[in-house]
Amino acid sequence: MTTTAEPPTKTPDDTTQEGFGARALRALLTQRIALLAVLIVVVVVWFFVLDAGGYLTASYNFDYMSASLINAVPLAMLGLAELLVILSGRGGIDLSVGAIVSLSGMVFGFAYGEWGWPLWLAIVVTALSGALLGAVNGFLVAYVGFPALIATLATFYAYKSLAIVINDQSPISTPPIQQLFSITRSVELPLFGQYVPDVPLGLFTFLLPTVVVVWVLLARTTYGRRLYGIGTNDVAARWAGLPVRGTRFKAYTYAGLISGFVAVVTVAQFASARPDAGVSGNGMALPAITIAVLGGVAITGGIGRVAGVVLATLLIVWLNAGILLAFVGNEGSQYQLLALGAVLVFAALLNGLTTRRYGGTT
Amino acid sequence: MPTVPTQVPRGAWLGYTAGLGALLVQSVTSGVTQLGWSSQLSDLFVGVFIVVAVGTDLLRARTRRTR
Repeated sequence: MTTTAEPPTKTPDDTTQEGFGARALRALLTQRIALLAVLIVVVVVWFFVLDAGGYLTASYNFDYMSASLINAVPLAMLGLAELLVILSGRGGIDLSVGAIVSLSGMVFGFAYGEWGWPLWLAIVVTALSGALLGAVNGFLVAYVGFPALIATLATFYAYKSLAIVINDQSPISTPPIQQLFSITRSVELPLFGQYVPDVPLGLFTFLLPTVVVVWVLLARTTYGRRLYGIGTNDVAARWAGLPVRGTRFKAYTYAGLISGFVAVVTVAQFASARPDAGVSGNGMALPAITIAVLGGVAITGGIGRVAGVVLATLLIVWLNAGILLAFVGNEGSQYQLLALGAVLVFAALLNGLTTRRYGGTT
Repeated sequence: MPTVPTQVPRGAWLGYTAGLGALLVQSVTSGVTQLGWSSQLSDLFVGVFIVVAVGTDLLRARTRRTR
């Protein structure tokens, strides 16, 4: 005789019998958006208290928080790029987004700064070059069958190298490129601008359109449904007649396209097309993956939302901005890395705990 | 009666091939420097070698499956 041990299941009655604390904990752990919103409030209030106590080297106020949002533009955009590839499942990840930013940034530097192309044309060509580089990743992963980690590691090396040698290791800082810095300035919001701090222009010109397009793509198109489908179970998706390879290929291509736009943003921020823009230090890929995981994107694929990625970006950016003020000199930037690692471990542990206890997040 | 293994264990091969990989990467880096090219170009070759190596592995696995 065999016996099977059944996992404990909660009936609706069990749920209604839970106390307020248990229900609040369940809501926080299972709804990533709610958890992130609470964490953002906790972090901001904490730094406000530290500021009031005189523990910070400068004032942590709404003006400072608003100005620090300029750092959120590339981070959130690359987080959305990672969202697309991780959603596609089968270990989907893109380690090469930073290198694509570097190489596409150099393409933009040549097109706009050296050859004098119109700005719109240079932006389009830069975005297309990013999409092409992403398509190489997509081809290797979706059609040849490379593990995403290995394929994007290989292209990371190749793109990084090309970005550096393409202009003999020199940045492009011609006057047209330097003038682009103006698009990173802060502007007053219409209607209620006098009541709130000025907001970086990049939020409206690059981040907001990207957020809207990715949200529409994932939540309102057939492609989005397919991406969630293949990410959840690609064998079932194949038997259901979904174009698994094409859908996965497009996810990497779109990630490259977004990285191309990020290249334009970083060139404007630095007022220079730097060959190491996306790979210097720890690069841009690791923070982007951290943000995606913190935002509730399941590393196994098929689960993740745009809102989670955006809120996770705000949390990281305002946490980093506060840490920078908590230490004198360059010490703060080192502690930012520590905080990023701690947040990633926390997010992974939380994902595991929530999956074991409640069956996953929403 | 216990059988004596006649093949080198798979784990041992891993050690040999990892060593050969390290040798290959270092040879490429030295070769690029000797040729007077930018040292950063060695990363490009490393990326290409990764693609070729993994691609060959995949191809071999597929050929074995279809036999």
